Formats: sequence, C-alpha cells, structure tokens
Amino acid sequence: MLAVDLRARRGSFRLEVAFATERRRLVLVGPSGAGKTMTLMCLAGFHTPERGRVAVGETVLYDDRRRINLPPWRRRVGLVLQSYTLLPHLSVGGNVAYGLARVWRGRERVRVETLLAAVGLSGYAERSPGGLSGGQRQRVALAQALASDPRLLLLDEPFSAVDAPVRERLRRDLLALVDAFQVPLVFVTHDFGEAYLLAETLVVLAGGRVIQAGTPADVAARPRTALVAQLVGASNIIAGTVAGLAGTATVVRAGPLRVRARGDPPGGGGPATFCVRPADVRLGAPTNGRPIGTVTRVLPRDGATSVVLSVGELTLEAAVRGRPPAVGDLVGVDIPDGAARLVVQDAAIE
Amino acid sequence: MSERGWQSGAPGVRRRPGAPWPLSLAGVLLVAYLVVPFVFGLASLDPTAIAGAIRGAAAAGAVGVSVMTATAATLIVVVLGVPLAYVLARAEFVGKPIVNALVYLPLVIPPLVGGVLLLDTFGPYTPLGAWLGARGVTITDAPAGIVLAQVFVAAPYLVVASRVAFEAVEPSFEQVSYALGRPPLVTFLRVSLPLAWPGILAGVPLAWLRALGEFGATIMVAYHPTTLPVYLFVQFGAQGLREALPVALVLVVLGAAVVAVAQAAGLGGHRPGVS
Repeated sequence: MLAVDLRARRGSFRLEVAFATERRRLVLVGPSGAGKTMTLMCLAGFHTPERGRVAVGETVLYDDRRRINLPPWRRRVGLVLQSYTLLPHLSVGGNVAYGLARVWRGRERVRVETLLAAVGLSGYAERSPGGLSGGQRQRVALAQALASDPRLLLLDEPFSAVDAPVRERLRRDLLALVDAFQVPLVFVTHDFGEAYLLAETLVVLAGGRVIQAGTPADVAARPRTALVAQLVGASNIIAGTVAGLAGTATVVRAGPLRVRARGDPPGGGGPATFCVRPADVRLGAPTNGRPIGTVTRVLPRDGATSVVLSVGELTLEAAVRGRPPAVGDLVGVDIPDGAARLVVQDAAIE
Repeated sequence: MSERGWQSGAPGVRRRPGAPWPLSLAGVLLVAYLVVPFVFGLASLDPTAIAGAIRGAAAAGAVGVSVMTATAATLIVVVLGVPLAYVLARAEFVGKPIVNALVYLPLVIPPLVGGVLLLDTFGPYTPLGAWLGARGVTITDAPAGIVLAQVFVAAPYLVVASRVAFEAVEPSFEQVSYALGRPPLVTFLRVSLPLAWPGILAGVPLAWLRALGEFGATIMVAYHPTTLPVYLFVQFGAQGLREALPVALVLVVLGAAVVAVAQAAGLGGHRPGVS
C-alpha cells in the first residue's frame, strides 16, 4: 500500500529510511530529532530528497530515477499538524469546504455536513475555529484533510497539544475514521502508547534511521536496541558480559546479577546488553544466594509502585504491586528466566 | 481579599497594567518633539493668510492633483509591491539579500537625486522617454511623472510592511493548503494574502502619506501640474515663508484625515490575525 525509500539531508542531518507496508495504519515513532517529521515532509512533498522513491499503491509520488517529483498540491495527501492547521480567517465549514475535492462541486454543503458529522461535529459549520477546544479543532482538521479525498493521510503529532482524556477519544475516533474512509494513514508520534494503539505497522526511527519495524506487539515483545527497549518500557538496560549459553538463552553476568536472556546472542563471549521491564523484576526477602539490592527511591505510580534499587554498581527499577519496601530496605532481587532480552547498543548500529 | 495583585478595583473588572512610566515618558518626549514645531509654526499664522493659502492652493488645483496622484501611486505600489513582498518573504533565490537591500534604496538617496534618475530614464531625450512620447505618453510635466516619482519614494514603506506581514504568516497554513490540492497562486490568494492583509493595510496609509508629501523627486520630474508640496515651494519662492507656510496646514489636514479614516476602518495598528 505504501512503499518509502528515502535519502535526504537538511543541514548536517541525514535521513536514510526505508519502510513498506500493506496495512492501512503505519506509525512512525521515535525520540525528537529522529527524523519523523522530515520523513513526513518528504512524503508530503515539502522536502525534496536526494534520492529514493515514494509510492502509494500504484501512484508514484517521488522517484529520482524516473525523475518523478509531484509537487505538494498534486500529491493528494491530507495533512494534520499539532497546531496551525485550520485557517483562522475561515469558519469551520469554510475550512472543510476549502479542502473539498472537485468531484464534490455543487454538493459542497452536504459533503461538508457529512464530514463534520463523521468527526462528531454536526452543526458546527458556522462556528469560528478560534472558539473551539483543542480537541474539536483537531477533529475539524481531520474533516478538512478527508475533504480532499486524500490518497494518504499524514498526521504529525496531531493530539500532542490536547488534554489526555480527550486525546484518548480522538485516537479511537481516528481508528474508526480511517476504517470508514478506507484511507491509508501515516502517523507520527513520540509516544509509544499512542503508537501501539494506532499502528498496524510500527516503524521506530532514531538518528535519521529505521532501527526497528514490525507489528506493535512484535516490537514491544522483542526490542532490538537499547533505545527501542527504552521506548517500549523495558527501561532497565544493563551492560554485562556473556558467561555462556543455556539452551537457547544466553547467560549474561552484570555485577551481582546473572540472568538468562533471550534474543540473538552477540558474536563471541564479549560484552552484552540486556533489557528488563520493571514489572518483571521480582523483589523478595534478602536471603543468601540471590543478589541483594538497597532501596534508594520509592515513587508512587499509577497501579504499581516504582522502586529504585542499587544492586552493587547497578541501578535497577522494579514495579511493585502491593506493599512496597521502604527506602533503605535490603531486598533480594530476582530476574526470572526469559524476562531479560538481549539488545544492541544503538551506537553499534550507526 | 487584599492580595489581588494588579487585578484590583471592582470585583470582576480586570484592570490591565498600564505601560511602565519610563516608556510613557519616552513616548511623551517624542510626541512633544514631533508636535511642538507645528504648534509654534501654525500659531504664528495669520487666519486671513490661511484662508488665502487654502483658496490659492485650491485655485491652482493642487489639492486635487495631490490627492489623485497620491492615490494612484498607492494603488500601483500595492498592486506591484504586495507580490514583491510575498516573493521576498517566501521564495528562496540567488541574490535575495541584494533585492532586499534594493527595496530600501529609495529611502537612502535624496529624493532630488531620485528625480534626476527618473529623468535620466523617462525624460523626453532618453530612448525610453522618446519611445513613450512617440506613443503619446508624456511623463515629464504630466500626472504620470508625478505618480512615477511618488511610487519611487513610497514603495519601500508598503513593501517592508507587507513583507513583515507575510513573514508572520505561519508557513504551516500554506503547507496545509498545498496538501489540500491548492496550487501556489490559489494558496497565495486564499490563505497568505487574507492572513497578511491587516499588516499590509498598515503599510497603505504610510505609502499614501509619503506620496502626498513627496516633493524632491516630483519637482525634478513634473513641475506641472502642481502638487501641494510643489505649490508650497512656488509660494515660498514668490512671496516668502509667511505666505508658503499655510499651505503646509492643508497637507497636515489632508494627512490627518486619511490617518483618521484608516484608523476608523481598522487599518494600521493591527498585527496579522494569527494565533
């Protein structure tokens, strides 16, 4: 459905990304400065790559070899940005009508009302965008983008400036809209939770590169690099050394810890890095034979308590349900088999 | 109920903090400097002289010529200057800093020199002047010459105001318009221009006033028909300062009327309505 292969530069920043999907919803996720927005600008035609190809279905938007580079106004991509999307000098209905494709000529009013109804804003046509809430504004922006019968929807952090409860509704409504209008979606976010909810195909960008791509469940379960591990919430990232193999697992020693980690073992018996989710770190009585940690911080969180420990030279975070230990307590630390996963340090893939 | 900060006064009534006094003081000083010479100068005038000057200026047709030419010049400046301002605000091209600097050029050179340059270009003995003359278009000593001189000096005011107004338009509005399939000219007319309009309009009275007061280039290019500033100069030469000064009053009144109209119409003083 969407095939992207780009090399582009802006100042000293280099973007080199390739991804493709047959699914309708693709999410680009990564930290700020990863190149997400620049990728989107290349898709929309506002940034000209040095080389590559962008195709939506049968339509080629850009191909340097065939010298195809459609200007933005011929690409038919609906663009929704975090803000500054709605034209302040037009009414809500005027904004949606501004986007209408030619085929709707003569039926403008009906189509505008249909689109506003689709985003849950029936009867808002006469209002001014300035009088709307942030969430309502982004709904109108979606209606405006859909009005052009786009072959691709490009959304750049569209819900980041919206209050959290409203954001959750907007995300769900977006899923329904994309299905109802059958329009492919490229969604940019730095929020993995949002990405997980919206994506059928997830592409993780960092430093202008794709560092991992796959289904959200696959990426969450098998982060390939330390950065992806961080992003998916496996926030304990620990460097150690390979101590041997145990079946398909790799035994890694890090300070007093000795874990059996899954994942691709690094070549040789040298250094290895693994990640563990805080929820997978088990705390118990400080008995002999298991690593002992000292509780340094206890932070209440939603649903569980975050307990930060010093284990030898290492710092570990555990998410504890039930009664948490107190600062200064000694606790036994247990990382169950299979909870740890080998990851690549991101510097290694540059 | 004592700690209400600057929101004191009647409940529910918000008082805005005024300007800090050093700013007000600076403002008062400048306004005084601008106004006081007029007060002294005009106070010295004899009312009968004023009436005579107004009659004289009207008889010479100077008021009509000045208003018509300044208005024509402003229209030309808007029609050509707004597109130039948009290009300067948005387009990237080689030599852009040079074009940007050229726009300020009429402000730098004395208008008299500007008039000489216009004569060297459009005068009857130049190739362009001869070519135009052969087609019945006279520039020198004609309203066309006055308008040319006024466009020359008034253009920078409008171009700079418009460029700033276009630069203040959030580029994402234009991007969204392109993405919705609107090509550049449509996007300019339906998005950039309406959003920059208040700022552009702030430049219109500036250009009109500068055209109205234009003297140096005008007197070189077109001594006739007589504009108000030229009439003032003629009176000064013929009858001296006392007879010439009342003509300035006519200019002041005309200018004040235009500023008042512009402010009442909500022009000027507005920032581009983007938030």
